[in-house]
Order: sequence, then structure tokens, then C-alpha cells
Amino acid sequence: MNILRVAKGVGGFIAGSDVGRSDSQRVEALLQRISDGALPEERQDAVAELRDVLQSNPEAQQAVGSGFPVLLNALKTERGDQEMTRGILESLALAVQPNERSSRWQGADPAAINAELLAKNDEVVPLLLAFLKDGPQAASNFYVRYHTVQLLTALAAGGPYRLQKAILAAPMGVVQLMDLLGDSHEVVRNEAVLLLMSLTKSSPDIQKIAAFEGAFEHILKILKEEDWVMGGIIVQDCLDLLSHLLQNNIGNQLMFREVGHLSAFVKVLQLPADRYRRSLPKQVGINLAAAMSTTQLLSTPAAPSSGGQEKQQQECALANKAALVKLGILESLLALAVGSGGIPSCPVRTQALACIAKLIKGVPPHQAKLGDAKVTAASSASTPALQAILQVALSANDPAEATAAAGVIAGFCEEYREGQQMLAATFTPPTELSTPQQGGIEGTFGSQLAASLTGLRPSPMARAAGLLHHVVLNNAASKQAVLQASSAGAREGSLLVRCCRQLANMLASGQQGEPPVSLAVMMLLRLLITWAHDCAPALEALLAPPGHLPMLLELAQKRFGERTAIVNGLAAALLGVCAMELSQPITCLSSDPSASPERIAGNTVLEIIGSRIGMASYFSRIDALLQRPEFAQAPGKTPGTDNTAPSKGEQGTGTVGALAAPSIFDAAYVRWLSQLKDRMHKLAMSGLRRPSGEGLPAANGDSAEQPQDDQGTITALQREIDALKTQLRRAHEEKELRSKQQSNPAHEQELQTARAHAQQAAAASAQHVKELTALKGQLQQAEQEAVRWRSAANQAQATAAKLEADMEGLGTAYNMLETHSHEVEARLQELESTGVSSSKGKGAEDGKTAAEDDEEDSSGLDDLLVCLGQEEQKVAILRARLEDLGVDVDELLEAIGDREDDPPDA
Amino acid sequence: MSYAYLFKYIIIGDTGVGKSCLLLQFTDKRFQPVHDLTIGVEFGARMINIDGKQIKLQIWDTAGQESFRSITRSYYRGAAGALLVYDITRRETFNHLASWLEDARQHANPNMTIMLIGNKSDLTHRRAVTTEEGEQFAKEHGLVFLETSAKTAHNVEEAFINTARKIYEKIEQGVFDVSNESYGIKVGYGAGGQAGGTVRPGEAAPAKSSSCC
Ligand SMILES: Nc1nc2c(ncn2[C@@H]2O[C@H](COP(=O)(O)OP(=O)(O)O)[C@@H](O)[C@H]2O)c(=O)[nH]1
Ligand SMILES: [Mg+2]
Repeated sequence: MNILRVAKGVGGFIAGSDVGRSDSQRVEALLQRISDGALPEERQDAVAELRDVLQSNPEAQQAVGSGFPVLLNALKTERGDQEMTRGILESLALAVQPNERSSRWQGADPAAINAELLAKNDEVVPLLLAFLKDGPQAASNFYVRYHTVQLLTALAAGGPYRLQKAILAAPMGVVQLMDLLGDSHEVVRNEAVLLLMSLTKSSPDIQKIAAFEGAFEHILKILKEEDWVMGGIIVQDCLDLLSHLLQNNIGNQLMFREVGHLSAFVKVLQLPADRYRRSLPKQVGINLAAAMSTTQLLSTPAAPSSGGQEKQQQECALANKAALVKLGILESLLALAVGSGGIPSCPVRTQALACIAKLIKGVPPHQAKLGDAKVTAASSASTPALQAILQVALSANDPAEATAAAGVIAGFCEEYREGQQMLAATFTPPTELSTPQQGGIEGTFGSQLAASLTGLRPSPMARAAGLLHHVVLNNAASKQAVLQASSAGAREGSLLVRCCRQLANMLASGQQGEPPVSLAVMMLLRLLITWAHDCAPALEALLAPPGHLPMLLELAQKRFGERTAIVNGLAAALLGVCAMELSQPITCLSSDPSASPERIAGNTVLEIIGSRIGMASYFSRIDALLQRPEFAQAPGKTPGTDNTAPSKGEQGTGTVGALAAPSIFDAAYVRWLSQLKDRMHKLAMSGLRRPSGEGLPAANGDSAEQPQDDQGTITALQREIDALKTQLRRAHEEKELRSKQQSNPAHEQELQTARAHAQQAAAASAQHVKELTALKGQLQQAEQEAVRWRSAANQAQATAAKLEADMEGLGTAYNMLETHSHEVEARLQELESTGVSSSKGKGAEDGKTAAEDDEEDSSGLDDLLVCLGQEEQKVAILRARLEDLGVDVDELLEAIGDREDDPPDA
Repeated sequence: MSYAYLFKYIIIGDTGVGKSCLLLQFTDKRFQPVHDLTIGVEFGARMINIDGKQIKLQIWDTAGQESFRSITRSYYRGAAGALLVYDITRRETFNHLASWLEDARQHANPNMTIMLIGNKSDLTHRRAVTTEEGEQFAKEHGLVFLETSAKTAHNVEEAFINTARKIYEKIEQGVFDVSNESYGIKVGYGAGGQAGGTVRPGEAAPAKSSSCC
């Protein structure tokens, strides 16, 4: 027999009964011998041969599937025979394990089919578990245990659910498998880790029993024996198993924490100082990644779908984070991320930063701890950790790493005002301590950030703008602090003004279509929106220089390559913020426009938007922005508490490539933007209400009342129409009175003329009344629609648009009406004067000419405004250039202004 | 959080007898009146003190698994103590005790300490099992017996602590090989000591662990 086997090994078909047979025929013959062989030796030989045939042989694998009953039966009947048992188990394992040749095998994978076949058989799992009963200490049946575990692992790989059920149904199933973790043979132990990994995956019952049976202790013991994270692949497997045990399982997480395992676990992330300064072995990197995944899992509440325990999940994650931070995990992670320049592996550094962000975000004590933390910088001096992280966020080559670092700073700022203010304070240039910290990173957080923000390269500029956004977000004190700090010392003006100059420079460069430039423009605009929102000094700083407004208009209209829609939209939003915040809250029925000068400025902005961009075009830009994927799919769908402020936070941990704008706009931002749009609509509506011939609204005293909503607009309109009606009625009465009184024959001719005029006026009045009726109809319609609009919440958008259109029509109609009423009034006046003095006959024509003149004047004014805007824009660009050259532009302009203002005769 | 010993407990018994409530009352000192399966604590831990020794109790509630006995069985081998609970207002939960006990005897280590608990003692007007019957059953099967109320907390501390005291006595008497963790007992990390010290049968616990409090 042995000779035969050797011969087969050499030639395969030289000798014996195998000649000419296919593998499947051989398998069938062997199975026959295993089941019917009279002598034990014969059966043993057949098993050994079967095992050899099955090595890397898909055809044999396919053939053996039908013989499983034979093999299982032999397992039962030959239990006493170690050799047989081992051979059969190994054959079964080979039958279900995928091998390299099966990938070239045509048709379905025989290993998978076999695994399915075996798993379906209810007696397999109890049979296999019985082989494990003798316990791990029995060295003699090592191979039996080894192949049993291999077999179970292969069955689990096919579909763990069925195996999980079978193992749970066996009385001590999980318990027996757990014992394998303590097996004296490492190969069995390691194989058992793999098996438990697939068994514990999403099975809370098995997770719980495994934890009860000491899985955590086993894992931590192995980790310790294998030198923690410096060990081999088994460390990775153990950490993955640990993650499986903890995933979505509050009970196990509670146990892990309560029993004190966390203090052992945090050792995983501690590396001996300087051990891996120059290079990190690949496996150590993978192990660190696995350990950090476990850390992230512990710090994240499980998916809300898993059974209505949201509150408990939150509490559990919070308790985990508190325990981890208390045990010093932040220090270990900081050492990995930025200590001595960080570990030499970008993915590890990136993940460490993501972990830090997770641990601190929204937990003030942790945020404070990070704020106080110091790390050893590259030059072995101590530096504030946040400053080292800022360095990474500004200048890391890898966008994902920079994003992760930015996520830490965002997490630090989120709902932590003290932290924001602490960072804002670092923008003040140090006065007495002008020498940089010895050896550490030079300057302060603020000065570093400002340097990137005002530097020449667009990428760091974009990153810096993104970071400053978090420092000032929702925090008026921070906004003012940065504004004042940066304007106090700097000759170049406040940081905000310098941001605007950067925008102007980029516009002037003609490279605004390049992705890095357009990204910087986008980030600067986002920053300015956040900064100017709810911060009067910032708004003032933004609008004071004459060139800024035209620049914003240009930003809203120019092309910016692939970011055209975003940049145009954000610029429009910033203009909107200016207009909204400058128009004061309604001072009801205040008829004195000088009492609210700021509102006039707000309306001026609106007016300029209208004349330079056009309202329709303006809103279409904001709409286009809202339809951008960055907005339409903004993360964080959970409704925020504060709807009136931009972005409350962002997903800074994304590891995706960053050029295609990372998700910097979250749901709260989108909501805020939509609201801004709506408010702008209303503001624009109340602006349109004004007669067009009246020029700037500053001259218009009678419409100081600014209704807050559409209903208010309608009411106000109604009131004005009423007033108009009264006026008209009075005009009628006067006219009649006069025609009665004026019976003097001396004035017959004049009277006739007057009558003609009166008739004309009456006709006009009739016309007027008709129009009024139509107007009222329209008004009623509008009112009805307004009511419907309110009640139908789901149709709000569409109806609102329609309503707005109607309102616009109404506004135009009103304008016509008013012009008309002016005419009527003029004629009445004329009539009056003719009636009394009977000397002037051609007043109507005069009036008409005057009106025409007026119209000409106002269109001239419009032209003038446009010219002015263009000039301002030119000045802005010139100013930027000149300022770069170091010229004091303000002085220059003043000098020019003085010369121009000099009266010619003075 | 050093302890001299760690004991693992399980709580078994029919659904609805108040297992989860007992655990919650013991670990969190509160009562959850509405029967909500999702509230299931599943695992609780608390430090207690016996004869000046800190003892950590790890308690597993077999929530939701009462009907799937094979899962519950997985817990027997590794437990040092079990609270077998019935509801004094529901006779059938008392009648099922024998079958629970049979399971425990079959799969648990023979030295597992079992405490019989008649819960909901506050509902006297709806009582369906007398105290004497409970005492009688405990006596017949060699169990310790207490009537408790997870609602009023009556006897809840005692139920858990008396069980621990029984286990502790057995250790003192050398009944256990404490180094074998499958008995559900672990010798603690004494102050300054190393993990998992062993106690041979007949030996008292190492002196170092007694000074940890
Ligand atoms: N009155 C009273 N009700 C209790 C007591 N213990 C539990 N309950 C109630 O009995 C029901 C079942 O309790 P629970 O702990 O979920 O039982 P479990 O299925 O054994 O875990 C719940 O409605 C509890 O409020 C008790 O001591 N007194
Ligand atoms: Mg329960």
C-alpha cells in the first residue's frame, strides 16, 4: 500500500488501480473502501489516501460531497481509533476549505457547496463538539481538536447564522469552544480565535456567553503574552474578536468596563517611546488600527436601529469615553498622532486623530484635557497638543490626515465656548513675550493659523479658513476677539479684512477656476458667512471698505470652474447675511427713516443685488447651491436645536480624499441656508413694494412700516388701498363742490375747460375704481392663497412660489395705480388752479413733461449706480495691488477725493 | 477597584418573575415598574463587603432566554452562585422550580450555591404560594431561601449578599480549587499584587487580598 502511495505521488498514473481513472472515480472508490473495507488497516489506508487526493483538488472536492454520510458514519463508529478520526476530520476539513486551485475551477465553488451540505446536517455540530469535550489539556488528541476547529471555521465562513444556531442549541457549545482559547497548543488557540470571531459576529447570545466564560480575560492574556501591539497577526485577530464581542452589546461593554478590563486594554495603544521612530512594521500598524477601531467602537453609540435603547447606548458610550480618557488614552493617541512628529505611518496617525476627535467631541472635561495637553515636538520641546494638531491640519500632505486633524479642532470647539475663546485669544500678538517658545513650534495657534490664512498658497489658506470657522462658530465672543486681536497690531488691517483681500487677489489673479483656488474662495466665504452672522462689528468690518460689496457681487457671478455653483451661491448667501442683518427688526409704523439708518443700508444691499444681479437670478444662485450634492446629502440628519445659526459641527473624521469638498456643510447649515433664503424673499418682497420711480428707499418715507410676513404685507397693502380710496372719494367730493360753486358766467370758458378736465378726471376715477376692484380681487385671491399656503404644509414651497408671483403682480399693479393716482392728483390740482385763477391752461401737459423728466432722471440714477459699482470694483482691485506694494491707499484716495470735491469756484 | 474575590452569579427562573428587576434594584437601587424587555440589564456588577473583604459580584441576567434553555445552560458551568427566582403570585412559576433545578444540577458544578427567591412579596393580597411552601422546597433541595420584593427592595441586598457569604464560607472551607476559574470564582488583584493568584483547596485566601479595602 505504501509503495502504491509513493508511486502515485511520483507519477499518479504509473502503477496500481489508479491508472486511467479520474479523480472523482478515485474518490468514489475510496469512499467505498472506507465504508465496506473489512480490515481496519484497509479503511485507514483509504482515509489516508482520500486526504491526499483532496489536497488542492476541486474535482475531488466536488466528488466527496456525496460521500459525507459515509464519512460521518465512520466518525461515529470509529471513535476509538485516533488515526481514523484524525484522517476523516482532516479530509472533511479539506473538503470544505477553499484552495488556490478552486479559483480556476469552472462552475460553483465545491468547497462552499460542501460547507453548505455539512452545515445543513443537524448531527454534524454535536458530533464535532463531542471531540472537544475531553478538554484542552489532553495533548494526545491535538490533531483532532485542530481539525475540528478548522472544520467549524470553514462551516462558519459559509454562513455563520446556521452554525451559530447549531452551537447555541448544543448544551455546552459555546463553553467548549471558549475552552479552546486556553489551549496549550498555539495553533489550536489561534484557530479558535478565528472561529469565535465568526461565531460572535452579530450574535448577542454568543457574545454574552463568551464574555461570561471569560473571553475578555483570555483575549487580554493572549495580548499580554504576545507583547501587546508589537506582536504578530494573532494580536490583530484577538483585537478583532474583542470588537465583535463588544459591538452593539451594552451588557458586554458594561462588563468590560466594570470589571476593569479597560485599564488593561489601554496598554495596547502604548508604544515604548522612540521604538518606531523611523519605520513602523506593517503588522504593528495593522494591530494599532485594530486597537483604535475597538476604541472607536467603545466611543460610539451603536446604530439606533438596534432596539430602542438609544439613551442607554449614549450613556454607555459616554461612560466608556470617560473611563478611557481617565486611563490616559488621550496621551497615547496624541503620542501616535503628533508626538515627535507622529508615528511613521500616515493611516495610523490619521486614525489616531479620528479617535481623539471621537473621545473629546461634546464632552467638556475631555475637551479641557486636550486643551491642556502638551506633546513633545520634533525638537523634543513641549508644545500644546492643539498647536501640533493645527500644524498637521494646515500642512499635512495627505488630505485625509489633514481632515482628521481638522476634525479634532472642530471637535474641540464644538459646544465648548471656553475652548473656542481660548483659541481665539491666541490670535492676539504676544506683546512682551515676543520671543518664540524655546524649541517648540514657533508662534501661537492663532499666529500660525493667521499666517496660513493670509499666505500665498491657496491650499493652506483653505484649510486655515475651515479651521477658523470652528473657532468662531456660534460664539460672538470669539468672533469679536479674533476680529479685534487681529486688527490691533496688524498694519494690514483686521484678519477679516485680510481675508477679503485674499478673495480680491484670487479674483484678480484670473485663476479662480483652478480647484485649489476655488476651494480657498469657498472656504473663505464660508468663514465670512459664519463670522458676519450675528456679529455687528464683523459685518461692519466686512462692508466698510467700499470695494467689498462689488467684490461680493462679482463672486456671486463669476465662474469658478467646477465650484461655480457653490461659490456663487455662498457669495449670494453672504450678501443675504449682509442684507438681513443690516435691516433692523421691524420698528412698527415708524415713519422716520433716519431713525433706522442701518436698515437703509440693508435695503441698499438689497437694491444693489436687484440692480446688479437681479432678484430672480440671485435666488436661483442660492437654489443651485442647495441642490449641490454637498448640500442635498449633508450629513447629520438629526435635527439640531439651534436652527438659526450655521453649521453646528461637521463630520471631520471622514477619511475620504478631500479635494472634492469634504462634507463641510451639515444638515443644520442647509436648514439655516434655506431659512436665509426665505427671509431674503420676504425682505425682497417688502423692497419691491416701493414705487420704482422713487429712487433709493431712503427718500421714501411712507413705507417705513415693514410687515414681517406675507399676511402683514397684504394688510399693509389693504390699508394703503383704503387710504387711496378715501383720497379719491375726497377728490370727487371736492370736484363736485367746486363745479357747483363755480357758476360765475365770467368764467364760463374756463368752466368748460374745467368740466372737460373734470370729465376726464371722472373717467380716470372710474378707470381707477375698476382697477381697484381688480386689485381687490387679486388681493383676495392672494389672501386665500396665503391661507391655503399656511394650512398645506407639504405644498408650502410650490404655493409660496405662486403666492410670491401674485404678490409681485400686485406690487406692479400697485405701482401703476400709484402713478395713476399721482396723475389724477396733478390734474385735480390743475383743475383747482384753473378754477380759481383761470389763468393756466396747460398744466396737464406741464405735469406730464415733469413726470417724463422724473423717469429719465431715475433711469439715469440707475446707470450711475452701475457705473459707481464698476468703479468701486476697479478701486478694490487697484487697492489690493497697491496695498501689496505697500502704498497707503486710504490716504491716496482721500487726497483724490479732496481734489474732486473742491468746488470749482473756491 | 481592587477586590479580594470576584464571584459570577446567574439569575434564572421563568419569564416575568422579576429577574431583571432584582438585578436593577441591586445594582442601581431603582425599580422599573413597566415590563419592558428592552430595558433588560443583562449584566450588572457591584462591589460588596464581607468580613472586611471587598468582593466583586458579576451578575448575568438570563433575560429573554428563559424559553431557550440550552442558552441558559451555557451559563451554569461558569457560575459560582445562582438566584433561582419564582413569583409568589403565580403558582406555575413555583411549579417549574424542579425543572430549573434539574437543569442546574446537570450542568452546573456541584458546588454552585443556589439561592431560592420568592419575589414580589409586596403583592400579599395576590399571593399564590405561601412562605412555608417556599421554605419547604428549599429545605428539601438544600437551598437557601428568601422572599424578596424588587419593588420595595425588601431582602434584595440580603439575597445577593447572603449568597456571596455562602460562597465565601465554602472558599474558607477549601471546597473550591479557586485557580480553576470555571467555578465562577476569581482571586482578585490585591493591592499591589499580581493578577490571578491561586488558592489551593484548604488554604485561606492570600493575605494580600484582605488588605485591599
Ligand atoms: N409588585 C411587584 N412587581 C414586580 C416585582 N418584581 C418585578 N415586578 C414586575 O414584574 C414584571 C416582570 O419583571 P421582570 O424583571 O421583567 O421579569 P423577568 O422576566 O424575570 O426579568 C414587571 O412588570 C415588573 O414591574 C416586585 O417585587 N413587586
Ligand atoms: Mg428579564
